[in-house]
Amino acid sequence: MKKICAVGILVLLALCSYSQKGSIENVYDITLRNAGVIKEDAQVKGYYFFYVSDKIDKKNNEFILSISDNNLKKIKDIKFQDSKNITILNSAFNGSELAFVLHNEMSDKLEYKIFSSDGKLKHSYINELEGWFEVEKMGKGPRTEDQLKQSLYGEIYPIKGEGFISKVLEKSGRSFNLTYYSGKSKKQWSYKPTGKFKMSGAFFLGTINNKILFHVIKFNGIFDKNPESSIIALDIETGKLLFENSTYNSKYKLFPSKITDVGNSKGVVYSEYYSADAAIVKDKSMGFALSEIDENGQLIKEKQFSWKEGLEKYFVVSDKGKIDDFGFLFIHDITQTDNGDLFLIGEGFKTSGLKTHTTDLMLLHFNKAMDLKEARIFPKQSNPVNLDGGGGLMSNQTKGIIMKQEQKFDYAYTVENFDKTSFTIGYTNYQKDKNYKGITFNSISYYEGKLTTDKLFNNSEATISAVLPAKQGQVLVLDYFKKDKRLEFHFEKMN
Amino acid sequence: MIKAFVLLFLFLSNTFAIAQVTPVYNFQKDDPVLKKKYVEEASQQQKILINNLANEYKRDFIRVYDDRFKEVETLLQSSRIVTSSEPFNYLNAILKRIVDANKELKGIKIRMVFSRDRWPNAYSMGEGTIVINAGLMTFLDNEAELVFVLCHELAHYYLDHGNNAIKKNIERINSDEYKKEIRRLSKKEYRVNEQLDSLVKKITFGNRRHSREFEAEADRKAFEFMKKTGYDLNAIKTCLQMLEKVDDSMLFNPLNLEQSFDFKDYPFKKRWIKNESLLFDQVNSDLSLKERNDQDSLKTHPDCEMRIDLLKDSISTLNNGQKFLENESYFKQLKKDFLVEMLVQDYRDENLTRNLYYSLVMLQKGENTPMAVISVIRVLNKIYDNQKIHQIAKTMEKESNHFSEDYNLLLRMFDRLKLDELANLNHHFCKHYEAQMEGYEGFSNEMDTANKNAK
Repeated sequence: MKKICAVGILVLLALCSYSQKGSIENVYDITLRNAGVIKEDAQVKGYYFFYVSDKIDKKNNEFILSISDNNLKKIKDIKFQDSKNITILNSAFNGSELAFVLHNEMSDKLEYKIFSSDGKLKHSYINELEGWFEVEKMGKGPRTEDQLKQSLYGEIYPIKGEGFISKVLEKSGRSFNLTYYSGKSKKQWSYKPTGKFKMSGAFFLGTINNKILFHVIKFNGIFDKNPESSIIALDIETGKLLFENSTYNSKYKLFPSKITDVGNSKGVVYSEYYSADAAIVKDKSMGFALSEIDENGQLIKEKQFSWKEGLEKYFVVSDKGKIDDFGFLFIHDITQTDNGDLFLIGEGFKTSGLKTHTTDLMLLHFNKAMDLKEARIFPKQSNPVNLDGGGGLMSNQTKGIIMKQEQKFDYAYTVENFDKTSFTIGYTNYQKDKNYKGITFNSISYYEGKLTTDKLFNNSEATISAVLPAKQGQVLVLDYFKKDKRLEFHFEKMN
Repeated sequence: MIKAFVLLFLFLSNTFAIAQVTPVYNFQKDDPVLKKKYVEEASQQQKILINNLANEYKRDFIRVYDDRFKEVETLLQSSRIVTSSEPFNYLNAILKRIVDANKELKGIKIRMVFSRDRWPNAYSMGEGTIVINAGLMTFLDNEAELVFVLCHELAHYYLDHGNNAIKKNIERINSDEYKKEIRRLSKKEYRVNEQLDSLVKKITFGNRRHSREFEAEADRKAFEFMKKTGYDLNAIKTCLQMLEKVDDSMLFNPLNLEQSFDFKDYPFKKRWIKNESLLFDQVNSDLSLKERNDQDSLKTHPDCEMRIDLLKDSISTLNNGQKFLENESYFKQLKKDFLVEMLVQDYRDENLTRNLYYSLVMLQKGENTPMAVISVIRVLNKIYDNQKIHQIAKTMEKESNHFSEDYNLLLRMFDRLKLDELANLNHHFCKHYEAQMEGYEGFSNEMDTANKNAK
């Protein structure tokens, strides 16, 4: 059976599945356990491959973390001994240190290993988990254990030149714990949301001037349709809560999902906005807003784009914010080019009763003053989506968040080039015609004001093919030949 | 009468057409008969070798010899081997000088050929085939240096180093000690790979040590062969010194990419080659002492300085030979020709970035300019085609610490070029050379393709 998987998590799984069935060229009988991309912001800087290189004793193995640059030239093999039960969940690169999240399933501990730029282990941090994974495994739905582990424990975000912040669900499953691990010295702090609430969730927004920003929502019960929503900022040195600004005001309720650091201690937040009396979990949003904020969370300027008036110049939009044939918009990423222009990268989805399916990709181009310059739809196949929780009574925004968490969208990633003059969006699609039947990997590239699209067919004879992000304008294609137990890599340029 | 007139017209028009097209370069034409003869000879020698094998480990020997023969056969049948009469005769005339001067070499069955391979190397396959790469030839200063190279490879063959190494390895893997160690490891459950690694290293280090001993022995024997030829023995020293620091910069000035691709209507973009921050960029220069020791132990050749040291007394007592005895002007011409043959071979082998690099370097140097221009346009068209259909991976190298800085810049640039930039670049390159290239064979076709791509 031929498969093509797109990037990130899916690719990790593809590689995991190799490990269970074979080894690389049988040399030393090394079994590949995991692999992934090392990114700095939206730039691919390298790759890691994690595998068992030897059995040390009954309980421990020797592991190798093999680090390659973005041309796949090996630059360092990091050897260490650890429990045989560890798996790698994620990595992050903050420009000077590289962090890996490892999970020991037997002892239910998370280990954060931080390596310096010479490849030496700088710090190691342990986080005890108290058996939450075993409970959660029962309700993992179509997700694999690795996907589930990654979403529960694997979240880690780099803080440029400083350290890393992780988000881990608490054992109760109803709240979260943010822990900061310094890369400079062995120092850590944790933050738990406070106040009266029954459940809470947090979404990493980004950093402005080393202030770590999260969007936090607090529910008063599992049926609370109108949770509190705020942007919080944590002090990088102490973890102290610097501000907690509600995203609701007397006119609108904002539901932020992305922030991009635009320099000069400012950030631009993308939110959907609702009427002041809306229940954001179930009601429809009125449009989206771009808000420029300073490092203290103070609003500098804001532009709102109602679904109807904001986009009708480009598309036919219903009063409910539904774009003809496109459905509702979910924003995956914001990217800013060197001239200050902002691009919102979104994907459509439609719902009909309990059925949901993804639609096309959309790119919204704003100038530095946050005026919409262009909006374009990039058609793709409509793919059905099975949501674990059904999602019938949720607002479209909530549904989009769940689809994102469950990796149901076709969008894969956005990578920028080193000087931010160009970026490439990657996504998968399905094609069936007389020449080809199967998954394609597609790209939309922006360069010097022009947008180009390209498509990669999977014509490989490999048992499994996978696509990993690479330098902007390229992809890394992995082909696994099960019979030969052989893994092949090559880069291809996307035009 | 009319028929005769028409025929005359056709003849004249053809002549006219031929006269309008100037070939960019006269390529060496290979001799398929000679290739076939060499394969047959190699096959005969292989049969004799196998027939004379003793019974001990016979199957192992046959397997290794068969593999080696397949390699030789593939090489001799490939376009890499130069069988064109002039270079072939030149090489074999020098070989004859060596053989004639050394009675012990009389009757030796040798197939000595040049290859179009780029890397500076010469090698004996161990069964009578000796290959001198064009890449090595371009670095040699005189015939005497070439003679030292030939004598060194002849010495390997004469001393049977290739077959001795095979014998040693086969005896090792069949030894009680080795088998016992493998059995022991297969029963172990823990730290198996660590011990396997150490065993592999022990064997590799041992092989490499023998290899270095063979090299030193071949140098000594090469000196014995060479001293009777009348060639300048100081060439041994200059050749080894050159090998110590062999680098493209000894042949060319570094490629100036900006100059090569800067056009009035399409200026060079600094962004194409600008540095970007790397991941773990300090690691490569920070090898541990153990890693450095391992690297030294893995070397197949002793340091050239050490090789010079071992021979310096012998050289100084007998140094009265000539730098050229056979044909100085042809030697120099061959060096130039081989640069072209090498880059064309890179194109055949689909190493497009190497082909582009050497074409640009040749253009910058002002050597074989029409050939270099056509070669650049052709390879840019090919890169464009491959990039368009996502087939670029196997034809373009990636930046590496092992490559020269200027070649890495070229790789970076072509790694970053978008499809339309590639087309525009070639279009403007054609425009720049259009007047100069008028009438040269192949130019208008390649230019038409480049212009079509740029539309």
